Amino acid sequence: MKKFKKSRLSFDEKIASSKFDYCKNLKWFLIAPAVIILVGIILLCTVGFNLGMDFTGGSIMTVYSNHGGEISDAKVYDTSKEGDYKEIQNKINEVLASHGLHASVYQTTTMTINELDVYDGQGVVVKYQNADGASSREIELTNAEIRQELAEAFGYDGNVNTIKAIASSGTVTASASSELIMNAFIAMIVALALILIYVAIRFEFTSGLATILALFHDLLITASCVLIFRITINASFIAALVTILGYSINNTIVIFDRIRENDRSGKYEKMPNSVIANSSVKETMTRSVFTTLTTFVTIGLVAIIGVADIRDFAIPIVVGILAGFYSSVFITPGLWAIAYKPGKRRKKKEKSSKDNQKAVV
Amino acid sequence: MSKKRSIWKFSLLGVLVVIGLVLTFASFPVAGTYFNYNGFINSIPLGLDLSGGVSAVYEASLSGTSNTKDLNGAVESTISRLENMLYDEGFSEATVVRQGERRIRIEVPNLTDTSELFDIIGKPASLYITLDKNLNVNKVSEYEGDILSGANITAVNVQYNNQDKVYGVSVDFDNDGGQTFTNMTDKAAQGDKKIYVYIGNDDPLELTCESKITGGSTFISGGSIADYDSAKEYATRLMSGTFSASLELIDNSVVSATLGKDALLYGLIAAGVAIFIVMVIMYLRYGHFGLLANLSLVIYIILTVFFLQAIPFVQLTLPGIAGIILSIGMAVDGNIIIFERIKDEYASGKKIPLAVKNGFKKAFWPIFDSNITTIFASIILYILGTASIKGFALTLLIGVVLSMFSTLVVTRFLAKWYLPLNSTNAKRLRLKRSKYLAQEVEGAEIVGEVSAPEAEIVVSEEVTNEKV
Repeated sequence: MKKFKKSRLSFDEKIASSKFDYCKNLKWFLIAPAVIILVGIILLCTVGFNLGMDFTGGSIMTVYSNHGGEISDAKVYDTSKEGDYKEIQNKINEVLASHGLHASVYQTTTMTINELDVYDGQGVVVKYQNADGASSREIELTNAEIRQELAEAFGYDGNVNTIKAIASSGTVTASASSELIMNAFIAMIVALALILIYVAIRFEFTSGLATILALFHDLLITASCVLIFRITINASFIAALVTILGYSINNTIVIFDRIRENDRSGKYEKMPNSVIANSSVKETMTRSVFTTLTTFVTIGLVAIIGVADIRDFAIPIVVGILAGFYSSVFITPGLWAIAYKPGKRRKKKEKSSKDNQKAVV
Repeated sequence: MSKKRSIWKFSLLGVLVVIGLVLTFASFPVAGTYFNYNGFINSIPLGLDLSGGVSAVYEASLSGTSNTKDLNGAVESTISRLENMLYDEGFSEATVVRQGERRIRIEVPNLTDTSELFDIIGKPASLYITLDKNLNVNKVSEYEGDILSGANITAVNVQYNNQDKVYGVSVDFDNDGGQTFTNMTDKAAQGDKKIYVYIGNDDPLELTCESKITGGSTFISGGSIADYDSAKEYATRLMSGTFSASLELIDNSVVSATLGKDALLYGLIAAGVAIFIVMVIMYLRYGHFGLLANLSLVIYIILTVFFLQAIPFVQLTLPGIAGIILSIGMAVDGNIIIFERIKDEYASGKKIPLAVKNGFKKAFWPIFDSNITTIFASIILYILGTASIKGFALTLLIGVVLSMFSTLVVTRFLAKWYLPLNSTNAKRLRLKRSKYLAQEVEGAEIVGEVSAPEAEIVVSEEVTNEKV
């Protein structure tokens, strides 16, 4: 025989032996998400999402940077050199900033321009969003000014030769069409419906409904945080939402699986739902914590190490994964405990045992 | 299974995994040949955001009309045609946007040369089909006989004719087009049996037509169409004539990745560090089981990389990488579910082999259910989504199916092989007996009564013996 003191209990054992009631406190757990989602809805109605270039479109300019002979003292840049590329970007940023705009995307390019008989010209493509609410005429005017200023910044006579300095310029439409967004939205609704049906068949309807509510919670929390922190969203945001949907359902399913097992085991025959839900949550807690932790580490590192665009994409996923953990532990079991009608299964059992008796007789 | 056989199996697997890792990550010239082997990971097609590609700007024009409304419609429909065409060629990440009023900007990832772009979309031009040998393409609006334009064509596909054992090109027409084509073939069959296809300003292609063709579609074969490649080329030529507007190439260029040079590198570093941390966590928490899980994770990664480069329509983008990270998370998740179950089983007093057996049995359904729901989501997304979403859905699908395989099959076999090596040392597997975690000891009472953390934990003699 060995004796362990309290402090020797492992994490799992502490959780398993805690008296915390996850169901009774449901109403308190709902407050924080409700507040976040409410703020999100208010922001959605007032300022809306911070839409990126994929959704809004914008303008594009290609600065032709290694021209030769046009103006004798113009610097000839080599975009394959990091320093030159940075210098070009800085120059362009300055011009855009003076119009209150900023670059969304920079690309280097090697181009053939038929109009100008240019072959293998080096250049830098810049894409930027137009000013909010500007009319197409205003955009045209601003772009004309930008074109001229860029031409001058890169050593051309701004009045005459802008076409030679700035190739392929103009407004571009959104690359993420409304069709893409609509289709993705419909796809997600259909997927949710299928998940509801599957969970309802594999478990029961109450679990299916609670699962769907939890997924809505996760997606809404993510969207709200994106609204609150003014994160720029691009087409990849849709992928982020799907990723969250795919991942956060795992925790919920695992807990419902344990609830079902416990419910069927007969151990809790005369106990209220909340007892089953509570012990199921506690039994699966270490697993929930560790799986969330491992995924959190992976995607969190991407958010920390990655460049700005990657961060805009990774942070929503991090939020969604945390929301998924929260909902599966603190919300769904409580919802299930309220809505599940106990005894259904027991009755079935009794019935089948009666049938058996009959068969025996 | 004996110890010896287990060791053999692990060694064999170890060798295979090392070979797999080399084939996946290394690139080297093959000795004695001019052939350079390129690791699977370098062969995954990348999207515009990670690798850049080729861009081209076209100016659209409509012959015979200056109506802006018509032009608008023509440009929009041309854009969607181009999108479909690029998607059909496997470029799910290509973008086609409108630049200014009448220009169309195409960006296609994973190409290094603009000429490759023209192989894919052809050189967009007008297309007309008539019986007239001397059609003036520039004065089509004045032509009075039967004529079909590219707008009448709904689909062009390469097909293999089983009867004649030849490749050919099938062309589908819309309702009006089908009617006109029937009339035309009827006349041709009675006349000189010739039909002419005008693409751009080139000399017309001559088709021979033996009989009246009904049904709104036709099959072209023979002549210059000798094999799959020539059929494909022919189809592309026809397809490029089906745009509503005729397109003139303004400029074409090779562009760099939109996320900048370092994005991919940083992404890979992040993924590498993350996987390492996860592996350490798994070892610390599950001991030898953690090592088995890590081995199955490595196998999972090799398989994923292999399938990503082998399956068409995958163009890996930043979201795609997130999809893979998600599936890595799910693969680890599955292993954790299994090991936690084994822990529970062992805690309640079972011996290791039985605990492992029951653990796998009980973990099967939760792993299956949670993965299958994600598989649903990705299939739906693949069916209903548009181009780039389809690509992401496919990446996610590959990842999740493989992660399910890695947990339910690979880890299971590894555990089966491991047991003969160690079926008594619980410490190495981080297992311990515990009343708190026990599953099958009069559950109701445990929940009611096990509340005092000071409670003594009784460890049976048997267990203490095992620990020695």
